[in-house]
Amino acid sequence: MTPVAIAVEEDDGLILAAAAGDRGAFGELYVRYARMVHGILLARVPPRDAEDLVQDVFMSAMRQLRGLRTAAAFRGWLAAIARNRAMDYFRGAWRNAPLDEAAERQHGVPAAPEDAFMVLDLIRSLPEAYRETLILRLVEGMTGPEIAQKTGLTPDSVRVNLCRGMKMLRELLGGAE
Amino acid sequence: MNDDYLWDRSGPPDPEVARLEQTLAPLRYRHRPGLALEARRPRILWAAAAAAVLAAVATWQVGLRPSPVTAWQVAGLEGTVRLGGRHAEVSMTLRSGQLLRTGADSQITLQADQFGQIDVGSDSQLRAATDQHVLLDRGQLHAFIWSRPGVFQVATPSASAIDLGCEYTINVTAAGDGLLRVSRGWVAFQHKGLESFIPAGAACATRKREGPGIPYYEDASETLRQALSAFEAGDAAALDGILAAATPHDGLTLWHLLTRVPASERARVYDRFAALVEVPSDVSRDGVLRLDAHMIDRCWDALVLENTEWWRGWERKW
Repeated sequence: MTPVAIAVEEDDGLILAAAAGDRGAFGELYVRYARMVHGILLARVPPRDAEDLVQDVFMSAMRQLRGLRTAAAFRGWLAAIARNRAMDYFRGAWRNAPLDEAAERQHGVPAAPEDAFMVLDLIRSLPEAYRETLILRLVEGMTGPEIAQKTGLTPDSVRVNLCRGMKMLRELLGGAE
Repeated sequence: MNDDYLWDRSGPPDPEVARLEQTLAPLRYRHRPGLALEARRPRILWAAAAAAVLAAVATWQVGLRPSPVTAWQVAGLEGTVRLGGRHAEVSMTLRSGQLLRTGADSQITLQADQFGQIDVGSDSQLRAATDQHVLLDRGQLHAFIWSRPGVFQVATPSASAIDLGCEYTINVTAAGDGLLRVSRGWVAFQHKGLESFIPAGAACATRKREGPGIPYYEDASETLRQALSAFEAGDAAALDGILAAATPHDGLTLWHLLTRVPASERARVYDRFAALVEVPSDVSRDGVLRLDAHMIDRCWDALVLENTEWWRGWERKW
């Protein structure tokens, strides 16, 4: 059995236990999926708020988990909650936050150089599928197989998204320099 | 150049991908300790606390796949035990944050060469945060620890047990309350500034949200134990029973009471303590009543307890 297959099997056990009300299992899912959720949020919201929203996503998931029918559905379902939460972010009071861009960016993200925000902006300008996958790979440090396992996408889809997204990003970086 | 490095980091690094990874790393997910879920969602405290604790564990895991292994390995088991969602087997290693659960008829023994041996009883749930720090959510844990005092800790929902060179058993109920019984050496039981020191032959209860109680020797009279239990359950009048039933052997219990009772009751406790224990001449009653750290320390010395080398290095909380 491959390491990814073992991880999937482990996660499935945790998902079923969490759906049955095991809070400890849910806590472990938090550890395992926080980077995936953060990456999806970071593709849409300011870095300073992404970490707060990770917790909101998991709180929301915890409330709804009993309604989940299969463990396999968990990954796509959690990703969908994260995307919805990012959309709510722009509908809510968050959008009234101060617009001092430079100060806002640095808040809560110490030691992140301006280059990081510049590259992030370029990635965010890519089509959604490429944007999420590239952030999970380049920011969160996940490998392609891991992204596939955590998001529920097929490895082929992730590979295509990574290659095409990276090709577009290289072109943008070439233009930016 | 092929895309193997971009895909799974195999093959020679793609310089541009590697540079982007380095540039973007500061934006990676990290847990901020001040961002505890429980502060934002007070009605789901336990679940939130569990998530926050595990999120803290995740801080160490950033950039590592899979989560780091700990020194704890399965040395033996009976019945069906789940470890990280799989059936546990001998020689499996606990990973940081991984959940270990025993059933109604199962138990498991874990060993770490540098630290000691842990036996986890039936209907228990445990995680290892690090080599030196495990979390017992519920059930029973028996620990025989050979690492130096102060290194190994067992956290429970109501208090943390710090090994001071010893052997002990902790039981945690589903409600998060606990009982610690020490069979060798010493254990310190801590929670939010409250501390109890439990020697071999003694026990100490702990209650969720209240922390460790008052230690007592297990061969103390039934009268004293019942009075202590009532006192810890909130019956202030039970203090009379404790003081009346105490013998010189119960000096340890009275010493802990000195710093736990309201100031208005402290004189009664000290007077009983001084009647039962030979207090050094440099100890003043007034000093003890105002909780002078040196005086409290001298009262501890008066107990003439064994195997307390760790005491000299202890950071006093009183």
